Amino acid sequence: MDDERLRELYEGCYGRLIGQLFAVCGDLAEAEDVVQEAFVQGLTKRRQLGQVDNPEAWLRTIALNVARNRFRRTVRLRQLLRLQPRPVTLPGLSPDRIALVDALRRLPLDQREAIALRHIADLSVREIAETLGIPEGTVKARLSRGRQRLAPLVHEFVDDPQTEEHHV
Amino acid sequence: MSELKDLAWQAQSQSPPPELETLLARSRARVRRRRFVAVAASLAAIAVPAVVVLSQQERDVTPDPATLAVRPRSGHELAHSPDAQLVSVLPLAGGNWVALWNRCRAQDPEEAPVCWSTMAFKSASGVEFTEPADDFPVLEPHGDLTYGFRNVHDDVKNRRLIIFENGRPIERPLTVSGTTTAVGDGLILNLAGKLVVVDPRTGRAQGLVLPADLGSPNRYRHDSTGRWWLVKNRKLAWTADGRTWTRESIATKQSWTDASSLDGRTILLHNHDDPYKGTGSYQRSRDSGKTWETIQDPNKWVLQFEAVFNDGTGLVTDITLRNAITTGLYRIAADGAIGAESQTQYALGSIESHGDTLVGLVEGPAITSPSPVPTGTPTPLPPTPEPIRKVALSTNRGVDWQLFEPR
Repeated sequence: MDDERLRELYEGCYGRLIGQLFAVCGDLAEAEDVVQEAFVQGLTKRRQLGQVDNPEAWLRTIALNVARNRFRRTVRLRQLLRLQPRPVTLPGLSPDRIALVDALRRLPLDQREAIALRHIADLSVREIAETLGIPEGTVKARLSRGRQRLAPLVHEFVDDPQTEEHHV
Repeated sequence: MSELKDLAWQAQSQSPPPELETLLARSRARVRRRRFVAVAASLAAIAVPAVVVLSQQERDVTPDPATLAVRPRSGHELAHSPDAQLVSVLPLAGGNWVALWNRCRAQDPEEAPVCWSTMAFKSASGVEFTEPADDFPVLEPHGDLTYGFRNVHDDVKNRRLIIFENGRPIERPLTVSGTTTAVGDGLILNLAGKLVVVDPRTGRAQGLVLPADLGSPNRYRHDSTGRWWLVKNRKLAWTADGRTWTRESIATKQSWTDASSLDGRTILLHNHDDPYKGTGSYQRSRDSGKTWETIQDPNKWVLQFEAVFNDGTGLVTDITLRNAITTGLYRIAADGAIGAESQTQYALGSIESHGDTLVGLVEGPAITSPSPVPTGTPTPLPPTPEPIRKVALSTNRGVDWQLFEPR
């Protein structure tokens, strides 16, 4: 990949990946580490980066792998040391948004990934299945369970039987 | 803007990107370090071993970081690694199955892990493994067919088709050019959102041109009679050759979940295209889609159909686990009513069916309470879930299940 394309890719998708990985990691510093590590990893394979159809998707997959690896190590360490959950450190968040970050952190990691990929990265169920290497049915189940648990804090997830459409 | 997107935007706006040159420098340092480690490993391998008497402390060395992330020597070794994880499992014809295992390791805690995968497959020869690969093949259950792809989003030269013959995965390079309206002996596959007709013997594919009213179907299936059918715009349309299409009217515009018997005679469709709403009813056909009946679901659960059989029975999951239930997998009676649980011992996910056989990943012990609703008060983080390594298999429509590790 030539320098100009590389710079365009970096400037175009760095911010988006930060937003998506923040929802997965629940911590801005962690999301920054993960996304930067994904770029470093991608830059060590610059030729391959230039050949893939969707470099941003490729980098996002690397970032998710890094986040998953770090999450497992961090949770075990915190359990061993009996540490309290770390506070939300993104300045300027309203109480509602702090509650949302906390609720995201309490989702199982696989549901958090599915929610972030669907509702922040706007990937289709199929694209999520291909990113995570799992069947589409599994994606749907994870999305539905995650949405159910976030419904009190996310307006679009509220299941209002009064407004259902009935296709009869 | 949705709450989640607003949250993401706030995070993004407070994180200016570092200079690209900083990351470039890190990547160059990483490449130099790897080359040094690789050269050192090569020299160590060819050096004449010397007899050295070591103290106990010297013998207790940590594993060479260079070997942590190297390619597993075989799929068997990968699947039996202590850190191997099961990603997915699918039943195949004849009681066979295929399971995808992966293993991710990082040479350096700050580095992205390197992941390798293998397919464990059971055929008449027993359980075998494919060679380890540094990608994740995506396997698709498709009615009575199972197929897969590698590297669909990567360099087009690397794309590969995976098909299963007598339980064994066969890989071929996949090339796409031109379009067609005929299916012939080909397979209609969904290649990254586009339907293509693939010749499974050669891996050559052409884009499938559908009639204008059927373009971009939400769902499509193949059944054992050779029929391809799809759901679009309140129609169930089917074809055997790709040229002649028969359309049956259905009550639902689109359905986010469906199940059909192996020969396609019995079909279940949801009454809604939104996977997050329970509508209190669903649609069932007992004659390959010609006529339909509405089945009531007073629970109004969000249903995911797992299997259906020609006597009208089947299995369905309530994926929201809104009620105080143990596993979420329920039997459908012959009249369509949702009844008792199929089993009560463990939580199953990613359930797939093929004929009377069902298989699912064992995600953990049975869940004994409804999903907790966040209250805004911070609570301790949940424990790290154990890696998934077991599957539950039933060969009699979910009556009896057996657990095993598919490796």
